[in-house]
Amino acid sequence: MRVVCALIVASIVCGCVSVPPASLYDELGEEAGIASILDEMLFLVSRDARTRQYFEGVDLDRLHGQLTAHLCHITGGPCHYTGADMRKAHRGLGINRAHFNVMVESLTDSLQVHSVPIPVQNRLLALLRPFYADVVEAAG
Amino acid sequence: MSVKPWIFVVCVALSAQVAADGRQLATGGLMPIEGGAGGGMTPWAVIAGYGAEDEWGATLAMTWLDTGDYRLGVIGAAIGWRNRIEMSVAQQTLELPTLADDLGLAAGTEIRQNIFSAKLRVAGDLVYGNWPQIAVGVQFKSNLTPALPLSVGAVDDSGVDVYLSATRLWLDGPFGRRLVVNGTLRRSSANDAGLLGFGGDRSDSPDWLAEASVGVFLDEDVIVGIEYRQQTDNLSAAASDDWTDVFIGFVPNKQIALAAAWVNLGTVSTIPNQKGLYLSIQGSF
Repeated sequence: MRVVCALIVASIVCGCVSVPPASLYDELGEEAGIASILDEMLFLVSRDARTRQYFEGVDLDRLHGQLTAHLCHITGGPCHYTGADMRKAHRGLGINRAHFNVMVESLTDSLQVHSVPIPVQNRLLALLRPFYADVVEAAG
Repeated sequence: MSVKPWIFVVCVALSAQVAADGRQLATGGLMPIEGGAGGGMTPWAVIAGYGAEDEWGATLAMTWLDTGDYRLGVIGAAIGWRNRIEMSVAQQTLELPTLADDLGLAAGTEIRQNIFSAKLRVAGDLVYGNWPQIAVGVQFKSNLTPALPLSVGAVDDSGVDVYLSATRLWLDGPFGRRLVVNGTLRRSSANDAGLLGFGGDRSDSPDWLAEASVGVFLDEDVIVGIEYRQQTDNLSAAASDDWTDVFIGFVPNKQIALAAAWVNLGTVSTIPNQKGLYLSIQGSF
């Protein structure tokens, strides 16, 4: 039993990182699908009482275009992202875990609305997971 | 000290609080049989409720386990502070009609135990970063009906368990499903979690005990999995087997969680083959 326990603890500690399969871009419906998913997500997160303060005065169309290009790029699509990196874009905004989770939940709700299968949803969320450290203040 | 006034205090405190929801669905776990937050029978490194770093969270739960020869009821409450510290109270009531009959005790004999516990998240994160969430905890257990435990050879009617838990959730686990794994190392002298007292004729010193849970989310709100919990073997008159269970949890929203499990406790105080249904309901605030 101690060996089993040691293996379990070791498997937890190793902290695996997922590699995005090349087809994630296709499975999200290519650029048009990604644009639609992010449109719904931005609609939700920019109106949520907990996060809307961050979107006041923001050009949502321009932000939508940048996010679409970024997600298209990192999911393996033929897009070029020319905006700021995630750490620079969120520096000094004071975003905490609760704010970040509103974004995650808005994205998840949008993926549900778009009938994206659970394994594809989870692959996308795993791909975006490392951005937590870039976006959230004092994350480490 | 009775648990009920404490539960009342927690309820009053909660009524003044707005529901915390800064963490993701199901990340507060369930309330195990000893209170706090985790799986069905073992504590995890997660903090009760859904409070993030600047929020409070809390849970209330009721649990039933029935093997036919034994019936366990648990009521508990827990509060989580800033996703960092958790405090919990739980009261267990064990009915044991078969054992009472065997020992010639009065019908309706019960064992009751209070558990006050605290947990500190010391490092890591359930989902983000490179390290699993790691927590240390302590459980102060006090058996309110020591006559029966002492009669089967227990040495003490109270004891202190300490434990270290590591918990991790992988978003992209097998079959594209979310995978949660917990490992807990506990140092304890409790017999059957303290329901049969602490220490015994074989050993009166604490043992290191291993506990583990593995669960897979079939959907965003349904989790299935298995658990294991090692037991001490202090009593020659009441040998104890390790516990296992197979569970399904349903977390439709951040207010409620339901769990059902098929539990195998093996031999419990001379009565073999103790298997039965476990049901639990938890409210989160």
